[in-house]
Amino acid sequence: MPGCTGSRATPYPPRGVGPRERQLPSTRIAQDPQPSRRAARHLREGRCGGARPKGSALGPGCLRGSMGWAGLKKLTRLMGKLFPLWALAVLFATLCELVLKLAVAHLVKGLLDATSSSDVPLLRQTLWQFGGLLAFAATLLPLSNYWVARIGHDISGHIRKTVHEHIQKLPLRSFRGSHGGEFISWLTNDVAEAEKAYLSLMGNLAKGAVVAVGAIVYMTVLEWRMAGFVVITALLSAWVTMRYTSQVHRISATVQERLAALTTVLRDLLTGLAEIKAYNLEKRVLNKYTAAVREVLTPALARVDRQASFSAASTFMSYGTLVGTLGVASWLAIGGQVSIGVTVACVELRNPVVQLFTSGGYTLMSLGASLAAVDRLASVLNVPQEDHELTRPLAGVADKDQYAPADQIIMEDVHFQYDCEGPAVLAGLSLTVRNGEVAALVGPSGAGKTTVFRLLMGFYEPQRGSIMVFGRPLVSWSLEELRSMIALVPQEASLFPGTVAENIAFGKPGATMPEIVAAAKTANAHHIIAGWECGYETLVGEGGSQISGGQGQLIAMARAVIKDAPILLMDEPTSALDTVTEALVKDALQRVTANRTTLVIAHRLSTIEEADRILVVEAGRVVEEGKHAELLSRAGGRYRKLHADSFWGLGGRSVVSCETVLPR
Amino acid sequence: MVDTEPPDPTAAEHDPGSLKRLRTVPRTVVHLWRLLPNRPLLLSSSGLAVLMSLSGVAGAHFIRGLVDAAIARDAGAALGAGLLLGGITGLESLLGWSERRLFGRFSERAMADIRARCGQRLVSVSPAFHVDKHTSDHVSRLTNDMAAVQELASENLRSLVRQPLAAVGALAYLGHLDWQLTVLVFCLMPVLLAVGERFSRPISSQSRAFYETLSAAAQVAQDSISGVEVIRIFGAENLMARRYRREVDESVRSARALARSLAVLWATSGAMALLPYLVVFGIGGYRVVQGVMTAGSLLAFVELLNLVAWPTSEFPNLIGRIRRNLAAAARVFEVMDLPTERAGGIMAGSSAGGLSEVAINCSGLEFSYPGRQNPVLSGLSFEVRRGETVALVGPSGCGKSTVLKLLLGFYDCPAGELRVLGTHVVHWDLTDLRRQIAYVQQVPYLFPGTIRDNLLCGREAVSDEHMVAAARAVGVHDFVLSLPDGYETEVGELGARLSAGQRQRMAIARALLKDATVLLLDEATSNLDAESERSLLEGLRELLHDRTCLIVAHRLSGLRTASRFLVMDNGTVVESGTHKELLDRAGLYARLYREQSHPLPAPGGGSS
Repeated sequence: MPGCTGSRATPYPPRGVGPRERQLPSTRIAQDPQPSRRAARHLREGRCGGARPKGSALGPGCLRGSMGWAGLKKLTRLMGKLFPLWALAVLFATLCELVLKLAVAHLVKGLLDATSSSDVPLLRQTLWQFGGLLAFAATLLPLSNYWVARIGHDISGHIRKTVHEHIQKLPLRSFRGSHGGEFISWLTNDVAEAEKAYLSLMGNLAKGAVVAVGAIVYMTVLEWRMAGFVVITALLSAWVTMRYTSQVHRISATVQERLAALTTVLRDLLTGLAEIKAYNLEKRVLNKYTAAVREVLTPALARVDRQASFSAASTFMSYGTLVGTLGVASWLAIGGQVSIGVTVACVELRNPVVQLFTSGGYTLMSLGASLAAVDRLASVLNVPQEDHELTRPLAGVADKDQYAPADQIIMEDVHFQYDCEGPAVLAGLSLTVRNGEVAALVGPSGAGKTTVFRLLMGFYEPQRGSIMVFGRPLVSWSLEELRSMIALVPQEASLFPGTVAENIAFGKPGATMPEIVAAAKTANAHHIIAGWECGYETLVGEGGSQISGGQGQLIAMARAVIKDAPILLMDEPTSALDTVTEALVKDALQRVTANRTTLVIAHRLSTIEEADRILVVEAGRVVEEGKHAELLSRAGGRYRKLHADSFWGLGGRSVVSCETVLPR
Repeated sequence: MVDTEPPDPTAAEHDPGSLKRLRTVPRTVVHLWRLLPNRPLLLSSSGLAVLMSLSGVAGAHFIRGLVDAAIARDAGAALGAGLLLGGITGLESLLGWSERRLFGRFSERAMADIRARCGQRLVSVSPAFHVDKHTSDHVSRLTNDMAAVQELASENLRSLVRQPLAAVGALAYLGHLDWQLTVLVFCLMPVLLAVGERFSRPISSQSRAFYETLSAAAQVAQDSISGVEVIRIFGAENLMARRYRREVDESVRSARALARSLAVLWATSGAMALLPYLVVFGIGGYRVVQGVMTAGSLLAFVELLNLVAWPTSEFPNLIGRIRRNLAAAARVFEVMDLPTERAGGIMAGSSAGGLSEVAINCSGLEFSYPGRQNPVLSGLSFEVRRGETVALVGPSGCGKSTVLKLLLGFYDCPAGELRVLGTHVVHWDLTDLRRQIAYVQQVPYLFPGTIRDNLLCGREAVSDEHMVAAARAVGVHDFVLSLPDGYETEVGELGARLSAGQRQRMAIARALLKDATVLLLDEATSNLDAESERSLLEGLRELLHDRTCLIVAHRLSGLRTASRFLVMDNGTVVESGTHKELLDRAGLYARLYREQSHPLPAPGGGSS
């Protein structure tokens, strides 16, 4: 199946998803629809003091719940304008299928009646009709199927775009933890799961039901006793199928669970091999592994037995129905009540009825899983967007001239925590940054420095305290205005696939080439970029491996420069740099920070010795403040301690030894 | 050593010279056959398949009898045929049941066997293989590829046996019923197959294209999610949405192309599936009218045609599936063919070197990683006497950790000499060599299990006092006691509560508890802050007693306890001596030391 090629479908697999799922994105059945739903709920109600869910209606019943009209309604809403077209296509396909199945039975009946009564004209006529049917099967039927598929794929594209656009506007809180991975899963696995509903399952169900009803009606018209017999046997085989499939499903779940456990043991074995060897633990580990293999074998053999019994039962049922139908028909035929043609037509018509009852249950089950994915997608779209949830004025109130008079960032007694239960990240932090100043935030990791940036950018709102930007409360700026005033150099360059020029222009849509080059020059990146073979057209991202972390950082700086925003936030601009690039960055810093209010977070204290002010952050508050020399001379000061520690190098952060890269 | 990239099965399809792959197929089959246990199960289930094929024919024969009797209104004959049909139904179910059971047992046992063999092979491979990439590659082989092998061993192999048998039996009876009609129908078959093949050809490449476009879209989505802060602050939401829309539109376009090809395939295959019936009913009908054939025969003919036509038309697909399965099986078997570490060698007791005063002796050692050009070690020579604590320092990439890995025998046959306790590493019995050495990596691996399991590592004889003393020495005892289950806490449950530093501390305690002559620490304290590192390493010295210790560390500040420093650069030792001697020499060591210390003089001197 194309699933193999899908292995490259998710180069960044969602966290916690094993390779099996990664390999087959389209076949990943939502075995557990709960986590993502919970995530969606978390997204909605994650704000502290937010509304609690009304009862936990998300138990196992949710699958059934999403099966009903509510689920279908959500699906139609997701489909949007394409729904009527899709419904029309499915209707058309169903009619084609009905015509085909009934016509085959009718023509077989005609053929046999003609032959048994030696009616040559009837035979000839039926054969012509048969030819016509062939033409029909070759044209209209595939056309109708193509129509459904085409609209279905359009719907998938529509859903993907809608969900992606929505994610782009979700509050940043939603991206914390594993949610980033879940977003990808929504766009890949869940859409793949949901599209089964409108690409095949619902169509199949409609076709199956309509054709079965048509077959029963036609049989009743031909010979009602035969129809009765067929329906009864079909019900019987449906019952057998349901019973066994549920059993096999249960055992299969156990097999899957144990296979997953086996994979865990295997992974442990492989990642710990150096230790296993060093401590001569091969035997112990191997015993554990073989035990896990045996654990898989037991339920697998049980499944084999179930499957064998099921296949025997279903063989018996299907043969039994065939034999029974023939038997009843022969008995009627001997009595002269029915023609041989009718008999064979009934045998032919029996198939769709049996099929509906045997595979209908399975289709319904798959539809349930598929609608669960629809449900998840729909609930994602219900999560309020960033702008809606914050009380923000509309954009366009201010223009740049208004920035000048009020000239500072003021944070006062700011308290903040990411999760209600989580630890307080900022606990009464206060700071002031004057216009045009370079202020540095230093402190141990986890002290809350990056969080200060996030609050300034309006990604989160503090639980308590006030933030003023340019003399106005931060909340009175629209997010668009606020962000237009700030440029960011993030901790990791986070460049996007595309050319270097595109990446720099990211900071200013529509930037001209001279502007891009000027920005690169300011950021000291120009001569590096110009030295590359493709210069500004060098590709970043896939295959752009020639760009080192430090060079990426310079490009990220150019991107911030071109934005030309009055406030510049830099998060550890030199943490991952080699000494050469660090010198370049330090040199660029002076030019970049001119005429801007700059906040720098630094781990390497050497970067910020020349800062106008250094703010030492610890445990969510500013504990020291002053110039480098001032702070160093303060006996017993925190900065002095930090400085002494960092004296010994990089704090183990960027130690990369050659041995971590082994031969391929 | 097999250090080449595993062949990419998709790449092989593009490769015009994929002859090499073709040749591996029979080898894989042989491999498979030799591996499969319980071959009697396979053979007896095949025997049952023969019987099933016969009962299928018998069923058709009785249908013919029943229908003919019904048309002739012969109630007695009809009853007889009906009863026989009932009997056949029972027999068929019974045969199917036993065949499934036997075959299922065979395939599940075979899978368990292959899994066990792979595991066995993987633990006996040198750890040098298991770099991150290989780990996920091997896991993927033993899950995804194994799933394909399972498909082969259960369904596809079974169909391969059953379908031809069923077809042959049915074919014989068809010939008996009406050989002319049979020949005619089977002349149609190749035509049908060729047409089906012609129209299904573009589908695999189109579906690959479809998945590639989907993957490109997922890539953009991933970028827009992981770069969300940058996107928001630069107001690039619309830009990313546009990019994503472009990729999705592309995927929709290729999905439509695929759907179009599928529709054409359906059209042809639908018509093709009906064609044989049209022929049989048409010609057969005339023959019945002419009295050459009975109506019952015609019906039996159609019934059996089902048995033959469908499997025959499915056969190319089956072969295709099996071919893919075999490619996956080959990837699994590659795991089983991985070279194992050598076994046997000199044991500690028998070695005269056990008396050697020199713990580690290295002279003229040359080494480069397999498949790499540039040498990591070039003419490395040094000596560590028993009971010494020696620090190995130098810029990143100079080959420090490589020395430790060679000492453990993770890599084979380095040129030059590397002696542990007087015996060349290549002559040691590997298990016994490793018994002499305790080793701590930069990112240590803690086994799933309790903290106690991890500290003792299988040495049940160690007393609790010993364990606690070691835990104290590395500074984790108090932390462990703060956990509700103390030393019985499962490491896996701790998750993020166990910091990288604590992991390193535990690994050191584990190494201390292993009663080894030589202790190798590879950046083992890199996640501790400078202060804790220093105190840990100082405390360690007392515990080491007469053990030999070789420490690789990046931060020089922690290493003051070392009795000697070996400064490495470009794969050789360039300086050696005590801290003071080296500083006085003003060479590489002094430069490293200066670089790590700050350009500014240390105020108050955290260092001294």
